[in-house]
Amino acid sequence: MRYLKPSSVEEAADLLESSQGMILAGGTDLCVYMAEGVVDPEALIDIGDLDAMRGIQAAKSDHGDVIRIGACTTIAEIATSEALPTCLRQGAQAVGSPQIRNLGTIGGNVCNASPCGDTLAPLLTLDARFVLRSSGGTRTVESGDFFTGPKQTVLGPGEILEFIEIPAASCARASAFRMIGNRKGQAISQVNAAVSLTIADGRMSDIRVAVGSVAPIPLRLTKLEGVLDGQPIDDVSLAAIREPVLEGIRPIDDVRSTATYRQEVTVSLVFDAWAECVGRASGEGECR
Amino acid sequence: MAVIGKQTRKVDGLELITGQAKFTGDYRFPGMVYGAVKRAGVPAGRLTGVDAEAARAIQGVVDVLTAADIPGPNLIGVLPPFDQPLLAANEIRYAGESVALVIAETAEEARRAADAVSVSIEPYEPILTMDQALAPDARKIHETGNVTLSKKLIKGEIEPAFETADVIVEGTFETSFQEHAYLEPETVCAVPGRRFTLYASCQSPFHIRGHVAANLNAPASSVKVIQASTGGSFGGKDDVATEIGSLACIAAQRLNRPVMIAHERKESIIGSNLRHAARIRIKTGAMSDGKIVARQIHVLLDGGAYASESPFVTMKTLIHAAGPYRIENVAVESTSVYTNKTYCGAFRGFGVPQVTFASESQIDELAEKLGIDRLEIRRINGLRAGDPNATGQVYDQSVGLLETIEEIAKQPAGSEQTTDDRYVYGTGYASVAQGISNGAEGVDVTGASVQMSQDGSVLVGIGLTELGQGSRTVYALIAAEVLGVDVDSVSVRLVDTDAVHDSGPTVASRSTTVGGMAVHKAATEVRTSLVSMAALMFKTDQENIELRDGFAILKMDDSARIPIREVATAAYWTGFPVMNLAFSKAPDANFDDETHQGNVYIAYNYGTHRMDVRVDRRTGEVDVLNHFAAHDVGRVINPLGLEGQVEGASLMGFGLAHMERIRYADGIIQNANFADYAVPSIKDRIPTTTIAVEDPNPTGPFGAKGAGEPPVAAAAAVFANAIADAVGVRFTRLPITREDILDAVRGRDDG
Repeated sequence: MRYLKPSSVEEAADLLESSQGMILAGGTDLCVYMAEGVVDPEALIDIGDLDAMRGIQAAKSDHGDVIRIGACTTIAEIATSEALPTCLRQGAQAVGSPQIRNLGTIGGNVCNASPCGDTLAPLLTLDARFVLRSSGGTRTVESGDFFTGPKQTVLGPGEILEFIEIPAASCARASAFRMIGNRKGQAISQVNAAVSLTIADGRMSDIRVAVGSVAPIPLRLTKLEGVLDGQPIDDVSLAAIREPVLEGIRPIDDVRSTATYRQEVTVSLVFDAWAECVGRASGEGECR
Repeated sequence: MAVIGKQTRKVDGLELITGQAKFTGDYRFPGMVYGAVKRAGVPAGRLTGVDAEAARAIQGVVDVLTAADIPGPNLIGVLPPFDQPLLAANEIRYAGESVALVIAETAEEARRAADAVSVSIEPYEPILTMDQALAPDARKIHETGNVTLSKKLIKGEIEPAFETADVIVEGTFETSFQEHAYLEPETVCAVPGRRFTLYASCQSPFHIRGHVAANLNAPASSVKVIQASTGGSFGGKDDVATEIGSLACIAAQRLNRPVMIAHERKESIIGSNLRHAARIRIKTGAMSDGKIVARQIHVLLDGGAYASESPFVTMKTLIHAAGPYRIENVAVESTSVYTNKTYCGAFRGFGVPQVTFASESQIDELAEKLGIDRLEIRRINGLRAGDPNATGQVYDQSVGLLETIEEIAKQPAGSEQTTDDRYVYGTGYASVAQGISNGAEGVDVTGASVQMSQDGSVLVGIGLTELGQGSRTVYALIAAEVLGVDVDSVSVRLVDTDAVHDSGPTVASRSTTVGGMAVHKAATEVRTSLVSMAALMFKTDQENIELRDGFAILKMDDSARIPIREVATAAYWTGFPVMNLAFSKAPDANFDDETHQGNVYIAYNYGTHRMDVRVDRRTGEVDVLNHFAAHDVGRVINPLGLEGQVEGASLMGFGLAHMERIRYADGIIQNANFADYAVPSIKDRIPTTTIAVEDPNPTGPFGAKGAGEPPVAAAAAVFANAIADAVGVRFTRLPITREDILDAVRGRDDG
């Protein structure tokens, strides 16, 4: 196996194009797959410490003002960045252990595309866009279009996730994330959920609800969003969201949980995340 | 007491937390090579061939061994007749079975090459459940059949007693396999030479030495086993350490190079013993005043592919199944069976957690049926000094069960409860007794040496191992107390089989009790020399001398004192022995083999726990709000060490009760990693408060009794009882997971 260390994202894209290699950033998923023999790449292309691919900053994109996150920004940095919306920070805080968060990257969490990835539902609710780099240039994909199946994405051969962009408008919304795993620390989500919304005059708008680990890909619950849109917050109850949540998800039994448990818990997590959003949206001057 | 009973930090704590301690995997020797095994991958079959050609072609590979390459009998085990091969020769009995050992220049090359070994196995229909194993026409996993051991305990006559009973409760309870999950997976390093040196992360070095020597076909005295610092064991580094220790030595002999074998986590789960899964049928009869008149219990233990410690665990469940109660009529039958799964053996608690869960669940059911308070029913039936227990053994002291109940009864009520209908709250109680020492499992002898140098410092040697439980600190405290020096001047050496005496296995909560007695005895002999010398120096009689604070002191004049180092120097030059090797032998067990009536253990640790829980009705999540654990430990040697043992053991019991389940599919473990097998994390720790009851035990040093195992059983049982109280549903299977709890909540709400 060759170990390649490009000095720029362009060089990384060229190496990826010209080899049968795989991109290595934090390695917290890839190294497990390699140890298990799931993958046996001809080369590892280590982009983990490319400075140009790290960091969180305000930027202007074709779509307006955004917060731009380098794909190699560590989960630990995401988890502690005051510049980022609450749900994304909370999602990052839920990933693995301190060691995993220090090594793992948000780009890795996205490109690994596990339905249980804890930053994915937050990114969906924030209308995030992914900037993909190849030797032919860049293209931008909506987060909602990126995931195509478990561990499957629209990334083409030779493409690298370079940046994640979160529209400034999304950052203005209140948001929250919830997850449940098989224990309280260092757990993989059996279900996770993120909500973002705006409240004006006691009514909700701009609602986004996304859930993970209850379908082959992280999902937006558009039916539920439609039900809630424009409603007064006082009308929302656990019972009221139950049907629209259950209609949107397709959980399965696996080694981590059962479909039935996932159904029940999804309703609860969505409700709790919603309630936290409402609490935060009602608070003044707090970080959203 | 000068040091006994005082809060003392672990004597080896600093070297461990600063990274100075050397674990087996830290050793490096010139020319060292690495071993990895090829495992069967199927649960049952006949091995028809091993093709290592592709493996040998891999860069770095220096040797491949199969069963034919083992010089000795190719057998290990805990009890004769040993039934477990180092490398399978014919039969494949579980999927983790080692078939070939590959040696290579690096660990990675060895692992890759092991994967490249091709094995041919004609599969059998695997026997995956105890019912399949016990079916009359079942295929025999071993020539002796599928029953490892079946024993009966009979006290009184249960049938007439059940007829007189006012109430009878019956039920069947099940528990799952549990993994030890120590931080450090099993590791050994063999260094060849005129004699063999084996560095090992292990629990019982003399046991390893015997098996290594036998499988090398060499005398035991040609093998030296050194226990490196060991990152946990909990019963789990006995069989497997003999397996990989023997393999490493055999390979080292062939190659004349040092060989290291270090298990990866997955191997540590699939290829070394687990806690027995159990199915326990239990029936209890009581009078309307709460007095239990009879208990009948059938215990079935799934022991997996090999005997390992199954026979001893069978005995332990037999003796403990009826609980810490005065019951005149008891019948227990306990049976361990072979199945085509990872073998089961020793695991902290040793069968007692399984039967205690069943027993204590039923005590609560009985209390409910009779309308008697749950602590009161334990009070009514709890063993007191002078009461015959289930084996008819009577202790005239150190039976502190009732005191543990009273300690629990006086703890403050639980914290405030929200009125939110999202949460339900519950409180559970459970009592336990756990035998200390090998007892029914065999003769119990420990050898310990104590020597004082001329500078007054003390070196203690003992054949029992420090595994994180704090035993070195206990020995240091005992020696320091006897010799009148401070703990810092005592060193307790690592176990080197050349330098310490065979002390049997480090098991059965026996280190403090039996090992501590040997240290006490040896230290007392050295003390006699010092006191004799000091008496000569003071020109007085020995009874006028005391050893304290590092001085020999004249009792009638506290200011008349000679530093112990001067006494030690004088004693040495006078020819008084300042070193002693002492043996402590526990009184032999003495019981009827048909009824198991008689004297079994030198003492029991008794305990009572209370746990308060809050259950989230939406998710089944449980918060443990309070956990009080009261244990009669005879005498506290080190309060900090005791807390560590009680908290750690309780968390293991909590894991067994709530989170941990080895998942099999077709005989293959599906969750052999810590992502999918949920051992509690630091965030899952429970708020255990340790309460010590001290009812001195005449067979232990300063009255002490072991404490490392009993809280596992009590914590598992108390969790089940607390959840039942909160949810209003009795759970009959461990673990009781969030899913199980949510199912029950919803079922009850719907009903």
